[in-house]
Amino acid sequence: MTLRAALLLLLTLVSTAFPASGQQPGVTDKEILIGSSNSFSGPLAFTGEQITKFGVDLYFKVINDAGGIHGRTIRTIYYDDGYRPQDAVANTKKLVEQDRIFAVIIPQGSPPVVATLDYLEENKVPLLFPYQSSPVTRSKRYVFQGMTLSDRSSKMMIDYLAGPRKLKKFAALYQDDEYGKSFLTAFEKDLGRFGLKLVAAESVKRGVTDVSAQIAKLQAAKPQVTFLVLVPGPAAQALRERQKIGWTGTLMVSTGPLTDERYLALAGDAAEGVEGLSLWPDPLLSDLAGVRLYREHMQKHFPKNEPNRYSIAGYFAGMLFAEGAKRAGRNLTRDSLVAALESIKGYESGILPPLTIGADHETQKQGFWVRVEKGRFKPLTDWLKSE
Amino acid sequence: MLSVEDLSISFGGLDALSGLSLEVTEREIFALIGPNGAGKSTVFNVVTGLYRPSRGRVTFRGDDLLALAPHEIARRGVGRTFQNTEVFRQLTAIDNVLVGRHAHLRSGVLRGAFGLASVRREEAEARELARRLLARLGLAEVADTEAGSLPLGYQKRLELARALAAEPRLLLLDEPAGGLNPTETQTLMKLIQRLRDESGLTLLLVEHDMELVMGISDRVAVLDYGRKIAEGKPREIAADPAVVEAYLGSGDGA
Amino acid sequence: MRRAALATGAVVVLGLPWAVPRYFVFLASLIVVNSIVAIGLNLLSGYTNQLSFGHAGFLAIGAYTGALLTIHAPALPVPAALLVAGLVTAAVGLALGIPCLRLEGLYLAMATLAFGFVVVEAILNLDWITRGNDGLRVPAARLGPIALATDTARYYLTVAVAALLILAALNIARTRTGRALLAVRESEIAAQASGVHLAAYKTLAFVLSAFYTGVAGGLFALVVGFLSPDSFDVFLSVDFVAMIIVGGLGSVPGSVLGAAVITTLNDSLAGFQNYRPLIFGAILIASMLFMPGGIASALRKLSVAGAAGYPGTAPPAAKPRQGDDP
Repeated sequence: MTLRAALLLLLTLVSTAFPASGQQPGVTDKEILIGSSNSFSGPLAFTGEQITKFGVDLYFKVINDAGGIHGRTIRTIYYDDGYRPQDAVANTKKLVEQDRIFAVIIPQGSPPVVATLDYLEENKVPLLFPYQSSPVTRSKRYVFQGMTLSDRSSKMMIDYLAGPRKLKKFAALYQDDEYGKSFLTAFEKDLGRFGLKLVAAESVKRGVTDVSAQIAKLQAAKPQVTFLVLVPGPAAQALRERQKIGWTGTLMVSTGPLTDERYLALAGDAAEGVEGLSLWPDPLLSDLAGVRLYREHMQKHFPKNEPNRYSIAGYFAGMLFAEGAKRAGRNLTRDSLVAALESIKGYESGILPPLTIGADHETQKQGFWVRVEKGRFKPLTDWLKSE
Repeated sequence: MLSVEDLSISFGGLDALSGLSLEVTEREIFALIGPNGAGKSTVFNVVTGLYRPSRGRVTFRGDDLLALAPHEIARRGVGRTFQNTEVFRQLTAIDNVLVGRHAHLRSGVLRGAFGLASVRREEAEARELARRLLARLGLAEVADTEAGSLPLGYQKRLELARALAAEPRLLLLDEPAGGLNPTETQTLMKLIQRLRDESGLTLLLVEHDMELVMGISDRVAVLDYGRKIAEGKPREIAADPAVVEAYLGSGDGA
Repeated sequence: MRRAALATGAVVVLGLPWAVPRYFVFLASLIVVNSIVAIGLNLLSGYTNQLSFGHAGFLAIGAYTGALLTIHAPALPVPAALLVAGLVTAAVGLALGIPCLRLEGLYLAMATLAFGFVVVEAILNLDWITRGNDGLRVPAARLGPIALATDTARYYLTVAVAALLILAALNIARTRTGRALLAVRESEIAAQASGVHLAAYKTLAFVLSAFYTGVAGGLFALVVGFLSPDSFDVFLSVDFVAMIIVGGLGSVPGSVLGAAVITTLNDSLAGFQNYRPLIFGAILIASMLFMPGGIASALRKLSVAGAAGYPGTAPPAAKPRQGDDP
């Protein structure tokens, strides 16, 4: 009988813990609730914490302090998935069905994001600005891309290097997964337009940091340019290995997701002279009005947290959401948000160039060229376009 | 029936047994005695396949036991108890006996999983037999008690019941009277004799209790430092000066 | 009384999807899947004292087998696909169990831990079929004319499979095989002296354990709908070990309770983000200190009458040993 009593109690608790359903999930007179499953433990815990708590939430603090959007403050809720897809699925279902969030904002990593993609689309929940670069998330009614997708990055990189820089022999060191392979496919296609091919391509398994064998093979192919499509750890290792064996005949070029300060710190002086496509202006040094404001806000709310590319990406995501919600008006629904985001034209963020989101739902289509000089990224070009 | 020839085994350079030979005949009660460390339990462990000797032969009813694994030896009819009782502590007494019955039961994992009628019948029969065995050894009341929580005397009897459930032909008893009071020892002596007389078992025992050894053994062998120093009928052994010397020398009169 | 409790339990389990919000149906399915893994792990660790830190590997094998069958042989009914997933995993269990016979304790833990890593590597290397790190989307499985496309449908599937497997585990536990496994755990020499083939039963424990975990893997694939090597990291194996320790070593009801507790805990701690591992660890340590025999044994102590027990519901205690006479 104790068992029965316990189960009944459990059932009662479970069913009362659940809020009554409103008309539009996550939107009340006073509040908008959004959130995501993210990495707060596991390999990308640092990134996860920066894009959410020090990025999205930083911008929302600013907005809420100024009275919110149409009288509503924005509240966020995040769950940890530790980069495990099944936990991302569980967390996302919980967010949608139990917490009844309005939209998902900036979840991280291809596997966790892809695992929830169909579910969110079926339930018409906006998936906003996922922090990943594979094009697998394209062409969904309720998905808006975040990071510049790999095929666009590739086009800008090849157009610049094979165009004005007149380089001809390209090789790639790529991570053996969706991230790496989506770049590889794009490189081959874009080189084809110039009648070129990759002279060598070596893969690195995820989690592996010893890349000496791959570097030796790439050196043997004598490329003028070696693309690094990796994460900070192995990429820094590749640069040090190159320095160790004294291979100077190639230009190392990092892809957008990799071009960040953490990777520079790991590589030390081995990173000098490395070039890359940067998706964000320098968060510490840029004079752009939006970036200066971002630094001021960070200083005000999280003075101990140094500005970085991850938190600025989250900050920008928060800014875009706020802009969409503002345009959707007082009658905020998931469909009115989608329509509002699609209507954004020439939006001045002060961080990225004027932004227009069309039917393709892509919020970032550009990057600019940088070279590492004395441990910082020095811009070499203005914004490059991928259209 | 059991023949041990020229058995030698050493542990870490120390000879536990050297050149030991024994011949146990059918329906005999044969006792092994000797001071602690003389190698008595080692003989048991070699016969039951737990130790591999460096030299020698062990045959049981024509089978070379040294070529067999412990469970195969058990299945050929050699049962045993242990000096420091080895009951399955967290199993009930009756389950202990049922494990003893293992080799006689047929149900495997698949038939067991599906709970077939044949399995249920076999189980019921085995339980009935186990209950009879427990009753015979005065353990009926503790059938459903966890073996580990039973007093030592009960555990000793339970080990015996478990060994008997396998219907052995040869039973090795390692200090069966150890830790028992005089009344319990008397009951045990009667039981051992009945096992031989009524069930036709052959018994090989290691025992320190001289009253028991002298009272029921047909023959006795004395071990000292891994060697057999005497063998014969109990009366002859008691009078043997070498035996007296070995016991007095070790200060262990038991 | 026992009958009444069972009937109530059955009503609650079957009625659950109609009484609770959708999310809890999904969570309940995960609990059921994890229960099957916990029972499987308990057959190995609780019954024969062979601790495994590689069960995420078995789960992965079952999951990928089940998923690939669902994708490439959609006509195959779900029960058949799950059976194949279990059998393939059992075969791997056999292959792992034989070399592991020589290992005990820490060494066995290390070997099984390594096995978990090997499975993840294998999934990465077989990317032409597993899609490697990109992950594998699992379509809804079919049971005759019905597509198991909703959380509720998948929940009933997992419950039906789990009911069969729990019944089988209980049957095994109280017949010859279960007793032999427990005997091996309690005393290897006495088990052998009773005619129990030590190597065969230790290997059997691996095979059975792998079979259960493999079937659970097949269900996991259907319930979650997406597989990637990231799903099967070492922390998942640790979670499984936590389930049987919290629930009770060697107990089938304990396995289910442990799975429920750990799965729910993991779910509710997801909101604590970076503190999750810390809180999780603290709760584990506390439960080991205050409930050394797991929930199953704590419940049994509370109400001896109500427990659906059978032998061996507490972890093996240290045996008092006197000096041996070699």
